[in-house]
Amino acid sequence: MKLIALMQLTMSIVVGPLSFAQDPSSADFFESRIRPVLVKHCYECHAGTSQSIKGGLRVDWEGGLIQGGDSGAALVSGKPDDSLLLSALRFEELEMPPTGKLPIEIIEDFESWIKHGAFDPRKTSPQQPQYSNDNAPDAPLWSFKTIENVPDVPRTDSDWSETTIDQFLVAKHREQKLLPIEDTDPSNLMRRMAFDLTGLPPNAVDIERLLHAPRDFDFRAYADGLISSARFGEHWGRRWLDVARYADSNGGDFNATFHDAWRYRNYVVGAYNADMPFDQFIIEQIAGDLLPYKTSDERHRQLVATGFLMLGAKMLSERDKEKLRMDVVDEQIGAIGTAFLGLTLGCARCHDHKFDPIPTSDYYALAGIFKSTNALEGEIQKYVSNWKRVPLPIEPEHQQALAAHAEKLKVVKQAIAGVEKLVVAESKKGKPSELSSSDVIVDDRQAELVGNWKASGLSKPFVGVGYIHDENEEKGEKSVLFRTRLATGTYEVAFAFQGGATRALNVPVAVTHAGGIAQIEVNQQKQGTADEPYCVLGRFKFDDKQDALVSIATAGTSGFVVVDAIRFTPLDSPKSKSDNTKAADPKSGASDAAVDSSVLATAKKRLEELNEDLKALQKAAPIPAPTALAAQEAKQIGDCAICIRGEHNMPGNVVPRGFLTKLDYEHNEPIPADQSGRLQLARWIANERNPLTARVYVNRIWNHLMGVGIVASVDNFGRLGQLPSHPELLDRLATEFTQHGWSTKWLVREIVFSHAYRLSSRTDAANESIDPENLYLWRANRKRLSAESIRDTLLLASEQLETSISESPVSELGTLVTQNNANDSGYSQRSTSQRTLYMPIVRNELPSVMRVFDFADPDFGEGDRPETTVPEQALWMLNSKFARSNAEQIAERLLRQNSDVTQRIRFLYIGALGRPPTRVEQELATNFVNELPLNADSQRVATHWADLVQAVIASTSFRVID
Amino acid sequence: MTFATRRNFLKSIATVPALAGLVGHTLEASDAIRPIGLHHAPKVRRVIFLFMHGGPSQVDTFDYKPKLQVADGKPLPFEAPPNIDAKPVLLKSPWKFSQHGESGLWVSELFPHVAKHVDDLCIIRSMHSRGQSHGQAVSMMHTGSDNLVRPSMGAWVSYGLGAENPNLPAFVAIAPSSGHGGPRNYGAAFLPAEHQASTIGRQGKLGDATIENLTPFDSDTMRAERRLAMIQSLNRAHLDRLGRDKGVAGMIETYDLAKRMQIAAPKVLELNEESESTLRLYGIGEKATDNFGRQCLLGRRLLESGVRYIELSTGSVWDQHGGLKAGHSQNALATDQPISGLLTDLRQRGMLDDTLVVWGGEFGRTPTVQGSDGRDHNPQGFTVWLAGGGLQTGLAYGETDEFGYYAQVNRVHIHDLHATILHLLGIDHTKLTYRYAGRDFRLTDVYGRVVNDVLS
Repeated sequence: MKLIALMQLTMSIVVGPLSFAQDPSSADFFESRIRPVLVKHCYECHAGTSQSIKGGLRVDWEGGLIQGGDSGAALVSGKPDDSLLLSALRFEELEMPPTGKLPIEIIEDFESWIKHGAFDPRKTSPQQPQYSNDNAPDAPLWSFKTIENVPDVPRTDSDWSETTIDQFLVAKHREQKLLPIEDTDPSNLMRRMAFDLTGLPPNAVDIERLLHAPRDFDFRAYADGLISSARFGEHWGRRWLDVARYADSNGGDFNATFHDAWRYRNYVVGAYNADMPFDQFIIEQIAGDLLPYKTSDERHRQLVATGFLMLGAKMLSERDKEKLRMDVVDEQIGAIGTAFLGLTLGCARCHDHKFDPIPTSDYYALAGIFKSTNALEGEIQKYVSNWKRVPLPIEPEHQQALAAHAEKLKVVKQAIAGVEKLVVAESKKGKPSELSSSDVIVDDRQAELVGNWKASGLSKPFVGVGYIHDENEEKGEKSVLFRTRLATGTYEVAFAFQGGATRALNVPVAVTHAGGIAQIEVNQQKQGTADEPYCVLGRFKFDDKQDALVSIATAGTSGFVVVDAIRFTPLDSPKSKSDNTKAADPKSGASDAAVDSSVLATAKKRLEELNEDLKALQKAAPIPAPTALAAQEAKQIGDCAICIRGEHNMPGNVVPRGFLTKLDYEHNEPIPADQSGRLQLARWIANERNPLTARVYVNRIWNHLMGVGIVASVDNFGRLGQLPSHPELLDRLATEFTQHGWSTKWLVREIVFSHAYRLSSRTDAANESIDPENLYLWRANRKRLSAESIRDTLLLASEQLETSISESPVSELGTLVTQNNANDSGYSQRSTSQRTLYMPIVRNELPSVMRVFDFADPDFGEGDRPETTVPEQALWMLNSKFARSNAEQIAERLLRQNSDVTQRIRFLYIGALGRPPTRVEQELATNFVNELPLNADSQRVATHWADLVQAVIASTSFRVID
Repeated sequence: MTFATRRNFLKSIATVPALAGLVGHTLEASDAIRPIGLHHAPKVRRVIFLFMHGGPSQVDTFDYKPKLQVADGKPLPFEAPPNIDAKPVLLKSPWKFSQHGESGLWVSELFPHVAKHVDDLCIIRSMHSRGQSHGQAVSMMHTGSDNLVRPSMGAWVSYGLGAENPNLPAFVAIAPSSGHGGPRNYGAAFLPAEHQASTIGRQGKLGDATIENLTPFDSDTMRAERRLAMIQSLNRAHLDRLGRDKGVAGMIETYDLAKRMQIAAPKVLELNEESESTLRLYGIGEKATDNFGRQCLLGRRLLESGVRYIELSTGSVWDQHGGLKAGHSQNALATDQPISGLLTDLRQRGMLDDTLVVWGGEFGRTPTVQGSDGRDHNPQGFTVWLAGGGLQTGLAYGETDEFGYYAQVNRVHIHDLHATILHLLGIDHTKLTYRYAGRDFRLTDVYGRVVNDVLS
């Protein structure tokens, strides 16, 4: 940067004469002026004794300074201006010490010291950095070790134990002297199963069947029914969407709509319903586009699956595109690390992972893979990146229909252009500045547009089919460029627009002509004449060697900028001269005009007809070819250089593309030079010998069903994560899971059919004194009803829930969900009675039921939602329109369907909670109903019952799964 | 303080006295005492951030550059930063500057009312930031990160200090923009969700000035009481069945708290209780100043009622790539008297000594011209001013170059501003951390230093 160079120059001038007291190359100088400063201001972070050495730099011996740290050598003897140490002291790119700039005298001392050879008596490193054994990045980590010996199922002679899982749990119970609690009552078990497996309460028929003959009820068959229902995939797919940070918009700085994200959402739901093997599920999401396929359906599915890589929130308007690219790569690496490996890989972007064995070189080995993957392409508007909509395979008939339609469109459009030209030429005749029929007119439809321009035809007349304007928004981010190649000569250039009082006063127009560029400011509040949209910009020479360009900008304007056409009128061609002469003859001009006007009328009529045809054709268009939010291989495939301290403009060594190196697992499928390596990475992850993949996934499923993971930190299997409560059980389940074809449904059954799953959630003093956290599962963990289950249940109970599968929930939104200006009226949620998972997940605009009831934050992939208890939840239950209107509808139904108070209360509980009321609940509700005066009118009765319904759905029994 | 003890400490103070905030606090402990500052004695108890979204121009407001006035139309004599649309040609300020107050600080004629308060201001003219586009710079200003989703400053303050009034939220955003990241800029990111802002109005407009679902409790008291009693009876019956359950017990408490909030909050939001002269002071009732005047007055009422951190937004209106004269005149007119009214009112009520007022945009604007009457984005150098407790006031700190482009002398990065604001609240920015995804995060990342030179 020039400025910094300038500042340095100024400084070295100011430095002035050196102190004569000491020779800067002497030991004295070092001991009195340099060493004390280093000790006082730098050793805390940059010495062997430091708790952690910042930036990899040590200044406690000569070698440390010369070797330097992450940013390179700190000191170049004799060259102060090349020495990072001095630059940092001067607070240039780095600012050291962080507590504040040192006095100028000290900085001058350092400058002299370096200039005179940087004498340093500290020739040996005083102390190597000490890692405690726990924190040593190379110490073995349990989760990085492959499961070599599958743990045996403990032999217990327990009557309690029914499955393999139970055997492992019983062993721990005995070890800890815990006695598992009794089973929960059948109706609670039914409620638990229904919500756990489908996210919805059990239906009234099943409840009555159970209540009628509880002993004969087959819970296995019941669970199997739920697992094979389509609701299973919706519920479990949504759990995966949490991990995949699923959203229907970008969020970030430009909240661009992900119109095609829903295909990925439905893919996930479908995968869970079909029990797609989890290893296949992984491979398709990371590298579906690189897989072979037999049918176009298969291809379709595999392309859509890679949406996983595209869903992250991006800062699309980052002007430094290289930085943006590395940010996107980082987001993808982070998502994969969390979702599949339970690791926080992002930490290794700037330095070796502080806690886990993940060196920076591993991170950049992965970065090369994703840098070789295309995530962004083109721009939505200036500086704002876009992504490619990847075409999906379509049926040949569809393809043909589209092609035929496109051809028809082309024909009509060509016809329109032809007639337009005629209209323009005819309407100009007889006007002094427009005599030449060899005028070149470039209409707005042929211009190159930057940014969002709005087409209009409100103000007449106009050239061609209409004109465009900038909506008086996003000034500076929109522009129009007219480009044409003219025969050499002088032309009058005129700019057509529709003027008026709301227009901009100062539209910057630039004309690129043979002699250079002319800048002209056009006042669009003034208009030529009523029937003449042109304003003359001036006369310029053009030659046929280069394009004639006219650009119209919006920067610096206030008021609408309107653009219709540009006209180039040749002034010196023989033809134009003769035209001029002709025009000078009033008689001939008049007769011409008369003839022309009839030609003009016919042409205009024809134009109208053609435009009608165009409209009809557009209406009859076949369904557009579907596109997907999907990843593709980049045009350039290659390895990535380490970015020192994560800064993309500080490249270090190039690292070959590859995988994590510190796992106790060899699987070195080479990455071909012409491939990104995503497919190889996907296979490296989706491998039964990978020590993390199966463990992490099995633990996620366990967590959802049992309330707490065997590893409580479900997204972190690193050193800062929790240790497994039952490590052998986890390894056993992980192994059996892969042996059972990576089947999620198998795993869900294993857990749900265990005795442990059936336990009551009641507390017990004796057990609690031993294991208050219920680490060893002597009882069931209570779970919260998710935001989706709350909403879905209310809709179900009020008989509104639609079970259709939704397509795009954001199809009506534009390129951006909301514009980045103060006039935008904001996003409003489309109302729907479909399951909550099909509601639009517009980042930054989540509906309140999701925000309040701990829905997964779509900005981060997370496998475990937070559980908060805040008054906003109570306020939502009490005051939200949604809660109230559903309560009213449920009450209305109760009143309509039954006349008996006891029956109504029973139906209320069965509908809303999925179980009959307890005796106490029945009593409380009856008392509440009895508060109604006998002479209450029907309105009063309806309100009172709605209050009761609302109280029941607001109660903790509704919000908690016991 | 080690991580574990500090975290416990935070947990205990964040749940003060029975639970704080609309978005409140996880109900875990209630036996803690309210701390005075987290790490050291605080100078201020609360913050109000007046966010001038879009980026007001420093050289047309508080950073007077006589050389720019005479070099109008001359080429910029040094290199402009990359990715800039402005021409490298200087544009003088269309507004006159004059000196004000005893301190003699320069303020342009855009802010005649605020100018009367210069002796109460600490004007930092050497701000710099990261992010040449709005999205990055707005995010940087609010969260200290230009590319990653991080908790906003208000959320950190809520996390660190909790609310002063348990019946009100700790963090309120008034009329926040939905663009340039929207809620992310006043969100909690990975901090517990209760630390995100409660919002009132949007897009620079106050609207009906209510908080979602926080309706007054007393519209039909009898019915509301009866319904609430029913809920709590059902809840207690549930708890009886379970034995003991922290979550359910917490939910029971939230219903009582919700009621108290329904009684307290709507009253605070009611501006009509204010006297005629107070309304006039804020410019309420005058067309140009009514909206922002109401925002400022509401801000004062919330501060007074114990809200810890308030952000007020103009909406993204300061982005004058063109139409500088008209745009900046209009924006200054809309905000000048209301802000002045707020400063006067806070002083009159003795609140200015323990409140921090922060004024600024996400960046400034170029001293060079875009179009003929516009300026482009400039994170390289801009002005932010502070007022309130613990500051050296009547001070202009730091300098940009002679034309007002780059911050040059006593440069203050956004991270430094954040560190300084936290410091004034009694928080050491290096110690207020939160562990997420295997790392301890903080507002200032690995940067930031307290600007001691502006502290009294």
